[in-house]
Amino acid sequence: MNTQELLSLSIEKLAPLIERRQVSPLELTDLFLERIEKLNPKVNAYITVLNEQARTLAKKAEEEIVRGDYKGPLHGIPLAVKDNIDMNGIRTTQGSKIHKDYVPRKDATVVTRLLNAGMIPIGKTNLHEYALGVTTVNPHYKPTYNPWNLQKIAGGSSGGSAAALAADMATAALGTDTGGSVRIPSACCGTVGLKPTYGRVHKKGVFPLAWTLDHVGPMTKTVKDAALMLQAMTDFDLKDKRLSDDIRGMVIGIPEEAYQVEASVLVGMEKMIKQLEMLGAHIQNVSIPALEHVPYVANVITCTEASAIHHEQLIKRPFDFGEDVGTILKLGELITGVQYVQAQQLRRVIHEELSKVFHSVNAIMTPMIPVPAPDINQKYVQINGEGVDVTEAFTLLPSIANVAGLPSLAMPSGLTNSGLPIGIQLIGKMYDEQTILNIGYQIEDPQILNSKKPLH
Amino acid sequence: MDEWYQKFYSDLNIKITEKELQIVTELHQILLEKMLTINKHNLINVEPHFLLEGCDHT
Repeated sequence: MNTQELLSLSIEKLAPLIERRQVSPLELTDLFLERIEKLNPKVNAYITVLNEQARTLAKKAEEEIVRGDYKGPLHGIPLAVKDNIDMNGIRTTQGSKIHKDYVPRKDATVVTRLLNAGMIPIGKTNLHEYALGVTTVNPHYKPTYNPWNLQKIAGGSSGGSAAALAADMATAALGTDTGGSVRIPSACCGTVGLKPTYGRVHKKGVFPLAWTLDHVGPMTKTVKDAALMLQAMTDFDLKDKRLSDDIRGMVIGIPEEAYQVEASVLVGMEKMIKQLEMLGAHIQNVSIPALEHVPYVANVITCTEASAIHHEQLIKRPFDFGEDVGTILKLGELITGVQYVQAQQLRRVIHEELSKVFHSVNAIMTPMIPVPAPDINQKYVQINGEGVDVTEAFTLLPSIANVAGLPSLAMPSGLTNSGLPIGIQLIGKMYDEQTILNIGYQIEDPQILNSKKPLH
Repeated sequence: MDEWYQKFYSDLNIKITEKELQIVTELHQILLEKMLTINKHNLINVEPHFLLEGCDHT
């Protein structure tokens, strides 16, 4: 197997090679560090590369495996960590100027769990400042560029993590998701991202954006890998220790409110619908009128909670925030208590409508993003002839799962004619990640991106 | 109206540029308009759906 093949392997494919000692964790880590050195100046996926620490951990993993102390499928696997997730002794910038020198003294709980599973953190990835945005056009650390087309955004806020995966600069990554920040970049970069149920993954040591909407999730190259990561990040167990190979009879709901998307994105949805039907699942159109409130609810809650978090710095250092983030935080100061509580009330209305839909369907499927990744610094995208603000357009569909607290899996659904990835999301019931992972695993097609690999 | 917003930020001791003030004013007006439509929904008996759990539920 050549270097390129090794770098592009999923966890599922790499793990047996590591277990059988056909691949050395140290050699693998070195290959990734070399690739990062070569490509990071172009892609800007990483803010900090952990050369020394990664090599030390890889050496330790290698010694453990040689003496027969193999910990499982994540042992020796290179991991990219979003730079708003604490790692002991490692600068964690939150993508900001204000926290540029912040060095935590403890690992985030989720990092501890992945270190215990034997993963090798190889770097801290770029993000939209304080995770408050969908582009990862970061004024302090420069933008992350989409490996599929370096003129385009990687999506955000976990853009560095998704770009690192797409460019084979990591095998797996961690992201955070308040309004789609794991799943938007996954869709823009043609990778897989899982936002688990609210509360499923412990958030201690993860810098908050909006407490009642924040989630931590795995970002990977395949659906199976996302399941493997989730098991290590929480006490979640796959039923019978595996993903099911049978989705016959399952009912997938398609909300009629989720079709304000570009034609090329619909082609991807239709491809997935055909695949589901071929596997014996049933498609059912559903109506969820309360979804019209999702953007308002998400905006009011995010702005208010984020402004409360940054209030002190907004007074002390108002111009040390990027222009877009500073403006949103200042807007949040204006929102009244009544507006905030009403937004939380509407959240219940949305949650209850979705719960009713789940009486008749096993999962809900929508496109993930309405158009493929736009140009860096593009402010508006065209959807069916109408100009829509990029943030508004890109958070519309992902925010449904944040507002309702439901698990959502993002996965690729194809490439557009211009060669950019598009994706879908599968939303499940509370704590039912298993169902959406089962479905995603079954409809996943390794050829869906036409076997193309960016930057090879 | 600008004066009201300027005084609001001044009272909070938050510095704001002209450009930010203009954007914030526009967005705030949009949120207020949306709030008026929400007032038409009968939310009186709807309990807020705060999600604040911070640990595993597995």
